Amino acid sequence: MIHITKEEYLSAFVDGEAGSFEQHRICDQLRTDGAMREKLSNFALIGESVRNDRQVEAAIAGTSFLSGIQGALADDEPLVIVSDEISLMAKDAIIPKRKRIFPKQALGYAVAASVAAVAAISFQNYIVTSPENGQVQTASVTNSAVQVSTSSIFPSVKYFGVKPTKSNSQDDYFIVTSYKAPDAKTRGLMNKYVAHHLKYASSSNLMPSVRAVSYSTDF
Amino acid sequence: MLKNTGIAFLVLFSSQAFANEAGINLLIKMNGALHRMNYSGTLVHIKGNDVNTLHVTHELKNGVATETVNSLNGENQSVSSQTQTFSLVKVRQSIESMISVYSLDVGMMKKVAMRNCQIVVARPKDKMRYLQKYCLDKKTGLPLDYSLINNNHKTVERFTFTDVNISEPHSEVLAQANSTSTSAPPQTLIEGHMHEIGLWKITQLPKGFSFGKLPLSQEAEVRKGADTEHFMLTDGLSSVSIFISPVATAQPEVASAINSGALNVLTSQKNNHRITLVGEVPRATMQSIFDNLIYRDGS
Repeated sequence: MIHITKEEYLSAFVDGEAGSFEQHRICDQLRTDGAMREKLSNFALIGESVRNDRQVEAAIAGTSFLSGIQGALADDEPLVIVSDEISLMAKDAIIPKRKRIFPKQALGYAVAASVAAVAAISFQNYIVTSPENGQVQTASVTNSAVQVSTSSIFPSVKYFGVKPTKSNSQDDYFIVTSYKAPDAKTRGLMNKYVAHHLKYASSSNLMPSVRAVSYSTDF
Repeated sequence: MLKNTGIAFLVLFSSQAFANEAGINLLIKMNGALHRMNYSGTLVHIKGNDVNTLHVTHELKNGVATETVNSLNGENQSVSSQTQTFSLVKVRQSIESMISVYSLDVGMMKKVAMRNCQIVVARPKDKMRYLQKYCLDKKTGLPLDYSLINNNHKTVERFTFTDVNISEPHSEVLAQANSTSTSAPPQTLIEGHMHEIGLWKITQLPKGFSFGKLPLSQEAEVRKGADTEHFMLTDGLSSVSIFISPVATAQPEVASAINSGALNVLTSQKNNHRITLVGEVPRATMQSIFDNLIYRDGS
């Protein structure tokens, strides 16, 4: 019973019909309840499917729509990212500290996820019903051997959406990598390479030594 | 009406072309000043919330430019470097190559460290690089103030002199520098270079980036005792180093990144190689380069 009530509230929340008190309450619950977050994503997916068939067409036509979402999310990416808690970046993105901005951000991700899912499902259907595209898919699997290994090097890679099956270039991929703070050994290696870069290849015609000294005070 | 519009376009086009040409000339003058002038002074380096004050000395002697930088922030940090002078002839070519991805604006006059300077802005045409803003000493062309600004209009790094003495070396010293200059200037492009580096290939370079020359001395140093390959990409103003070294044993494949002002460092593994990128470009640009780096099976 309680679960049904939750769903109703969640539905109202997705439709923008929940009051501010309910919005806050749902935000609080979403922070701790993974199942509820998944439910939110599903609701957003259903809503998007029902509301806008044109998005499905756009997804079939190409990856530009997805790229747009990727670009928008990438633009919001902070420049300074180094922190021990960096692996929690994705989680933080879903559960921001400021509650009042939660619905907008959560919906943004949910919409991105749902559109990507719709795109994938639609594209799979498209491939199943189109024999010539079957060839494209086979070819891309053969050619993407390196791409597969590329993605496999990132255990922490987050796919916001589904990896497209049709892939003519790596631009088709939407990869958001969460970086870890380097361990001592990696840091030492990075420092060595930074020194080489600053000495020989830095764009700093402008006093590379200044950057070198300043960098050494950082780390 | 159509005629007026055409004239307006022509005027706009001409003024941008003029600004670009004026900007190029000023940046060439800046390059010359940075490497051929003697100067010393106090420089403030700002990165985000960090402020570092440094004393900088640059002197041209026997065809070699010696630069010494001391941190004045209590830490005993100091760097001294010597670089062989290079021919300024190729500087123009390098700077001109950036016009496809930057537009240059020449701004107003300003005063920095009690000296008049001219503002020059290199404005990127996309989000793959930083906006660069210079204030160049009117008399010598030395940059007295330099900022790198990101896509969100935030200054990620800034250098500014609070006091500086600039002097031109004696003519004999300059003549010697000119006669001994052999190496390529920074940002020199390798003409006709394919997107291939040994067993690696970059399927798609960020717009405006090409492979750049590295000093011969560097190649020797990097390869000494280690089979690390070092390649440089440049768009004429910004550069990215790519270091590739084989890894003997399988290690956890973790991407690490650090940031210091405009400088970003990204390292990860691909096909049993460690790939490290270092450069004064946004991290997304480096990620794009990394993603497009493909191992070409040698077999």
